[in-house]
Amino acid sequence: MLTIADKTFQSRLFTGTGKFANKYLMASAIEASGSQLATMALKRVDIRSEQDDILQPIIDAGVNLLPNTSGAKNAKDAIFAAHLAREALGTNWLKLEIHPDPKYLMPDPIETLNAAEQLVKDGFVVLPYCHADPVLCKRLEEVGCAAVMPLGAPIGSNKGIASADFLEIIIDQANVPVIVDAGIGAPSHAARAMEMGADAVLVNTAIAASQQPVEMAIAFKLAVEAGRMAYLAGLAGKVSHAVASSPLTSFLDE
Amino acid sequence: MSHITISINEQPEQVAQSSSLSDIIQALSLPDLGCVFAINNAVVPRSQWQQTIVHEGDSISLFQAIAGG
Repeated sequence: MLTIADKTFQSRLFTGTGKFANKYLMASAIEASGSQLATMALKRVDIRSEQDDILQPIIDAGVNLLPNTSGAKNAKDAIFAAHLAREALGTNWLKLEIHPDPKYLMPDPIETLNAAEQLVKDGFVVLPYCHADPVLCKRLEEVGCAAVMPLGAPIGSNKGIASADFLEIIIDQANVPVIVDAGIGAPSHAARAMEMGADAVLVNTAIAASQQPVEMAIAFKLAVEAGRMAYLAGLAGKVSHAVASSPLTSFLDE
Repeated sequence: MSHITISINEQPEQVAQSSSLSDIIQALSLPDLGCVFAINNAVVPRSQWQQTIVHEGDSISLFQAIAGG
């Protein structure tokens, strides 16, 4: 069981709600994934066009909401977005993300740390999306973040756990849960993060952009469970030469 | 009933005179949960929607929860 701040989770797979073909498919996939925490974004309402209520299907599925600050380019924007989200969704949980550059969507470490410090003081449960930087993750923990969310690879890139060496250090040092966010493109990537000892993973594009999101959601659910189980069981160590699994009786030669 | 013109997210919108923020949500057929107003970059708590009356020329921001990662 995973505990973050005041909530416990049976499922270690967190999901995003973006990029699904429609809200019904989104709700079905999230339900199939077993996820108990799903991210959302905020936007200015365009009063000239029809609004789609995506919230109700998620609430009906009993999933906790994790609003993000996507679109924020600095700490000031993110703090404003956080307060809007808290009022809109009635939760003080927050995925803090600040990425000024739209090409690579790299999280800004300085603005993120500054915003995190303020938002913790404002009573938020802050889960910051950040680079796989062990020093930054420590600093985010020290200002009171409830977890850290280092990236595996750039958002939506599906490149997997490109930051493995640094994630290992982060996991080794952390006193708060480590949720690997971004870049996870296949169930095997999620399993790898969990085998390494990550507490959870957050997956969006890989499920939403699959040809069959519900089936892919189930595949991720199983991969996260398998990876966690393997971590708890303890992986056998690596060596650079072969070690026979069968007894080497040389009966064929004699 | 006479109408006034206000600006919502920088778009002009006619609303009934003495409309509250709650009335605006209803008039736009928006769900109650998932929406939030800000006036002059200050969040308006939901508890104040009913008593917050808009006036001719007011400029308000309105946000809604949408899908995202």
